[in-house]
Amino acid sequence: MLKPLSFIPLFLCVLMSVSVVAQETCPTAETLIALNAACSTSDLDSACNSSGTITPLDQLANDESAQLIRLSGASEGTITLTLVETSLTAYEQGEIVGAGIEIGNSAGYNVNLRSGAGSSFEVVGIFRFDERLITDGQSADGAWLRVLLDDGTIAWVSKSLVSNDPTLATLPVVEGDASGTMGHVLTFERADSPCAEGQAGIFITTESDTTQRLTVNDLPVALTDAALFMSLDESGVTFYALAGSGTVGIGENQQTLESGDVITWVDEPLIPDPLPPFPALDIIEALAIEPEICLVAAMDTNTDPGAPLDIGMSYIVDALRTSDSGLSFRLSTSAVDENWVIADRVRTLGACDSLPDADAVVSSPVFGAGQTPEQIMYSYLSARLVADASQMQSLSCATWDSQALLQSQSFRAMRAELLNVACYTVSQTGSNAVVQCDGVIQTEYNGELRQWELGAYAMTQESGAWRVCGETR
Amino acid sequence: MFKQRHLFFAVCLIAVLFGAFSSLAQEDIDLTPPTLGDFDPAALAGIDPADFPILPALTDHARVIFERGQNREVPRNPQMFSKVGDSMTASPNFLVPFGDGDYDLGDYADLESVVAFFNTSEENAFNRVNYANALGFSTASALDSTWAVAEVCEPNESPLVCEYRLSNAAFALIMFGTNDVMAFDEVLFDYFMREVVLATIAEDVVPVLYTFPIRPEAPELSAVFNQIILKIAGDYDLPVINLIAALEPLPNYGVDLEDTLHLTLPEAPGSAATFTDDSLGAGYTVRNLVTLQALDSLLTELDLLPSET
Repeated sequence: MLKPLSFIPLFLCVLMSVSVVAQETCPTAETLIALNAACSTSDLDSACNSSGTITPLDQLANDESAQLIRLSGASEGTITLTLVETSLTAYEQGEIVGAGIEIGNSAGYNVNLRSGAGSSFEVVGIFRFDERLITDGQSADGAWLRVLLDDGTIAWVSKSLVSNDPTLATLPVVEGDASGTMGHVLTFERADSPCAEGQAGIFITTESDTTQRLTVNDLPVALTDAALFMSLDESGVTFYALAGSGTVGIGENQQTLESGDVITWVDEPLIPDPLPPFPALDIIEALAIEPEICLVAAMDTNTDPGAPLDIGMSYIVDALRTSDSGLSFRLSTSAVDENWVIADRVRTLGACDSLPDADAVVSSPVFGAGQTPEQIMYSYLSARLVADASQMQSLSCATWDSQALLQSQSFRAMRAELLNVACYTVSQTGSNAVVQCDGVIQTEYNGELRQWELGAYAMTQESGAWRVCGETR
Repeated sequence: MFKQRHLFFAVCLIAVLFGAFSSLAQEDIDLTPPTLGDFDPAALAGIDPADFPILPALTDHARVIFERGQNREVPRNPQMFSKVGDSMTASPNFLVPFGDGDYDLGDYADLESVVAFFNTSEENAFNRVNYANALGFSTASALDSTWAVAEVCEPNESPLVCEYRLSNAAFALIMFGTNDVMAFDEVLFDYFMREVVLATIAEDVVPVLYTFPIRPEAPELSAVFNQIILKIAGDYDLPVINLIAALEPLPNYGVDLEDTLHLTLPEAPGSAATFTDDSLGAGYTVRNLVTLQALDSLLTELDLLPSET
């Protein structure tokens, strides 16, 4: 028989064990709600923990407690980062850049990009003749524009060499020798965490229409009104796009991010197959993120939703189906296998009311099948502007194939756009039709504009789809 | 009567011999249309423009093409050439002054005969409107019916074929590269350039190719494209004017650094066809000179001009 006092050590042991177990679980939704509450008025460009303690970013060293970081963004916007079992190991304040105006190279040839507003500054890059860049500021004399490069650097180009846009005059005047890296530069490290794969990382949210830029673990990230989860695992970095749009990476490796995209980055980007699960629904809810995709999660361990779902994770669904057994959701986890979950056995979050009906989806065995001759013709012209040879050849009849290749390339030395284009079928006999397109292709070359009048095109049906087959009169 | 019969047999014999010669000349030349992706960069190894003469000799194949043009139902006009290329070829500074009578041959007075040969009327080979050159023109443009002038060209007719139909030229001066080098890679340029050359040969027009001035923004690729031009000229046994070699002594290969799409002009306005030492420091003037010299050489070998003896 144990005396009552003898229970005290046992109680303490149990308490300590519970405490250890509690420490070894991933942060809960409650933890993040508390963090948000404690840090609701935290300063910009600082970190805040669940005690409400504010720490300047340059003094934050490997603090593994949950942190909320607010960064100043362009056009008075902010970027919020919520760290889950992740430490900030390095921080550098880069140049904050504005919303910007897109410009083209009107010189007709590659021009120099310089480190400052003047031809005496060092050449730091090339503005290709067919490239477009974002400018967010001008020099005091208005002769040079500050541009933002894919690799996250800032450079300058002579205004006389870019497409004339009256709105350029509205750009703010910025320092003429400002160069360097755009946005904040942060390096994170996964803490020694009990979180499962894909659960430790950083939630990044921006709330303005202005594109906000930052560099995270050497990867430039640009986000527009977006919510993103970035997991840090031994296998690398994985981005989960929850809302809005953005890009990650540089140059040829730059990837666009739309809601629902998942990109894993080790040495280069790749789309994982099968798609890994997203963070837990209650975590996403706790951060007040409204996904633009439909996410589902198992209600609890005792529910069989029809497909194996890991507790504590969420999954994208891309379609629904109504059958005798009720409503089901299709998990978007694999390009090959289909997995369905029963709707009333899962929790949902996000845009689940607008899912397409899987049974209503009609597969098209032939590219362009079901489209009208004028739709095919318009698609052909649109593909031409971006020199998409394979698309144009797909839309062409067999005898026009080589011409389609030619036409895809013959405007490449210049910038082209469609103006006032409307295509309509003027005659159709059996498997042949004539499509008339009004409007022009406008090209810009060496600063000169030229318009190419569109005309009448012969169309023919091949394998049940309309194809472009040459010009006619 | 006897003499007439002899003459008839002689003509027949010449025709038979010429036909045999033509067949032999063409046997080794593969005129199969190229396939995209056939390009082999290793085939360019050892091709150095510096090893090629500036002025071409008449090749066997060029002679065959010329003779075939003369045997057409409506023979190709030996006193007509087409100017095929980009804005440097469309420029009023390229050959046009010779057609307008606004030139000075200076120390090159012997070229007067070639100027006179093509200067057949007020509108002549030098100054007539061409339909296979334009601003922004590339090898692909020359083959794409979109670029054909709708008022004079047929539906689906390429600018190149349209031009040859309208000019009925026996020769085509073809220079591409300046725009191509900013738009295409080696594979596409090789493919399209071969298509241009083959389309010209198919029309019984003698292609006279040029190496092109180095584009300052893409010097390495320009050099490769010039190797491709020389390779194509070799593969099809065609004359090539090695312009890049002629421009080599000029600053920046005669390219205007303020406008890298074009050659430099002499300081004196309107003197691109004035062959003085000063003017010959400009890219356009050099191109005009070597073009006249090349035409003079080709016409002489074809016995269309008397040789200098």
